[in-house]
Amino acid sequence: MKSLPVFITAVLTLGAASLLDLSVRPAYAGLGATTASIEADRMSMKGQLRARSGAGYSVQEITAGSGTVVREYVSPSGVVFAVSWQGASMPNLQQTFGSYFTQFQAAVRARRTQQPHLRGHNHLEIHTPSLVVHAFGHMRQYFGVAYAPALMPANLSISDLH
Amino acid sequence: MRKLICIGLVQVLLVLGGCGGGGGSGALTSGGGSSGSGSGNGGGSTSGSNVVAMAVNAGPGTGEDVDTPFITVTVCAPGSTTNCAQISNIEVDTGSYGLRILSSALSSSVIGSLTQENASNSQPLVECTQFVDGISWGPVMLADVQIGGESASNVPIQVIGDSSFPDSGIPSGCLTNGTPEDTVAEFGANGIIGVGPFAQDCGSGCVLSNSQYAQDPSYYACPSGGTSPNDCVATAPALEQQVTNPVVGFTSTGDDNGVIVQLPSVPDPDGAATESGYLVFGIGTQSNNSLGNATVLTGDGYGDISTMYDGTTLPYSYLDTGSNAYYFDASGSSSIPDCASSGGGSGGSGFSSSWLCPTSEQTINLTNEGQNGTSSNVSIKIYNATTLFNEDNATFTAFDDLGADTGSQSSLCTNYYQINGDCYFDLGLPFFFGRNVYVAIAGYNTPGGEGPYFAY
Repeated sequence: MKSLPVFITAVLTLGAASLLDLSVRPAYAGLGATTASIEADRMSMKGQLRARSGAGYSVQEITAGSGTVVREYVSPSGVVFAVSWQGASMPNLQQTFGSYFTQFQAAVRARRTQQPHLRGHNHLEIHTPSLVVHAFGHMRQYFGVAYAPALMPANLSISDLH
Repeated sequence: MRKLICIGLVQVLLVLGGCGGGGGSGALTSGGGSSGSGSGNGGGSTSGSNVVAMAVNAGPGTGEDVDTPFITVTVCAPGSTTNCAQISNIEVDTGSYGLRILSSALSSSVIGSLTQENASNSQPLVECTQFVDGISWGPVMLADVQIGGESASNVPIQVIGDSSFPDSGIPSGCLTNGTPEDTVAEFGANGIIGVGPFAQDCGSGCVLSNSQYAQDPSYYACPSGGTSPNDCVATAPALEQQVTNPVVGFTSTGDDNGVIVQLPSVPDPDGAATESGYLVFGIGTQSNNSLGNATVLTGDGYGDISTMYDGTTLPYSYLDTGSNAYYFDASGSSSIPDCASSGGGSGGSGFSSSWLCPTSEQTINLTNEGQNGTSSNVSIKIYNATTLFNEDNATFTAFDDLGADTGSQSSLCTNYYQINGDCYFDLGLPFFFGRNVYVAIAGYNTPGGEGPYFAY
């Protein structure tokens, strides 16, 4: 039920040329998706999956072949409410942000004009009601975390995530 | 040719501190400066063929940059001293490596005279440069680069937004790494010069020609004029083909082991409309760039140092002219609150602010430590960003006390150090005011040992 609008959004975003590519790629997962989609992310990133549990959430950690680590934070109800990354290259943000990718891109563009002082290429701070992103780093070393406040379990804050 | 440059410098500069070695009068001249703070470090005038003027101003993008330093560079066709373009407003970034210029800042005749680098399949080499805030797309070309009186031959540079490689042809694998910033307005500068502590932008990680690298590649082989995302294939260029820090090409003068970023103090706490300083090439190679008694903090494999802040050691810290504030986790500090959403230039459309807005100026004590075990205590200041931006003078661009809150970093950096709390303190441009900051390049020797290191 959720995959159809996501798919349409992606096609609109990327254009028809990517249609073939998307059709063979597993359905989008990432932020906002359910636990069942994490395997799709792992396959897409050709990565290795490691699971662990925190207090009030679980973590699915995907180490991509490139070495970049993507963590998906899953609520007790099985929804990915936060993601983080670390590595020598940026991860596939489309996969990582899932259905939030279009919103993420729009926020990046809006930030350039609406937050003119908050510039620079080595940081990215996005605080909107529906999406919060903090990314930083420099060449050869990139970090980031993103979460959807509406999906965050009520008893958790971002500082609880490890 | 060098003689000509020297003569030009005599005409331009008040003091000639030596051209290509010799002359000069010892360590960096401290002439009091115009900031009125009385701090010697970073003040005064510096001259020599290894020096270029650097300015902190509003920039050419939206014209609203703060704490962003720029220099002017000259790019010439390989082997030519006449087919050149002088480009101002090139951002100085110690957090990246290599020279990148927006195509609109170059004439098409100059672009056409640069040497296109080719990938192993003989197609043009094009880079999808990954910045934290977006990606920049454009070909890798060889150019002669002149900065101040220094020159480097056949330097691989990136031309961003070149019409021969339009954004419509950006591979989907590149678009998933970020949002394109391929115009001056989007990029915020006419270009960027990465003078951080590494020689190549990607390094050995991009040389691996295997399926691992191919997942999130930076480099592609593309046909000129290609407009389809399927036209390019990932490729792994040799180290010497990668976009390269031009400083390592300053071999004829020997000023190829690093840079010094010199910015005078700015009035505290209100800052200044603009500020002028210098980027000096070489460390301990000329009479005007000696290391002196600066404290050397050796970097790790990523060039990072440790910073102790509020009782926590943050092992991914760094000194970055490309960060326009101090960025750190202030969420645990009641004395340094975030600005209200309506202030601090945060604009509308639901963005809330990351800027810091203490009611009075706050002093933070930090201890920086290098891999060499050397440590250094420093004090920095954080003032109210909304006041700085809106009340004092909306046109001010140079602040030594601008801070931004990253929020908790606990989910970010668990890989190498197994930390479960915060992990970095970004000593952005505010840190550089009133200091001479040395940046030594990995693998290059200096009187303070081999890079990578920061020293101040």
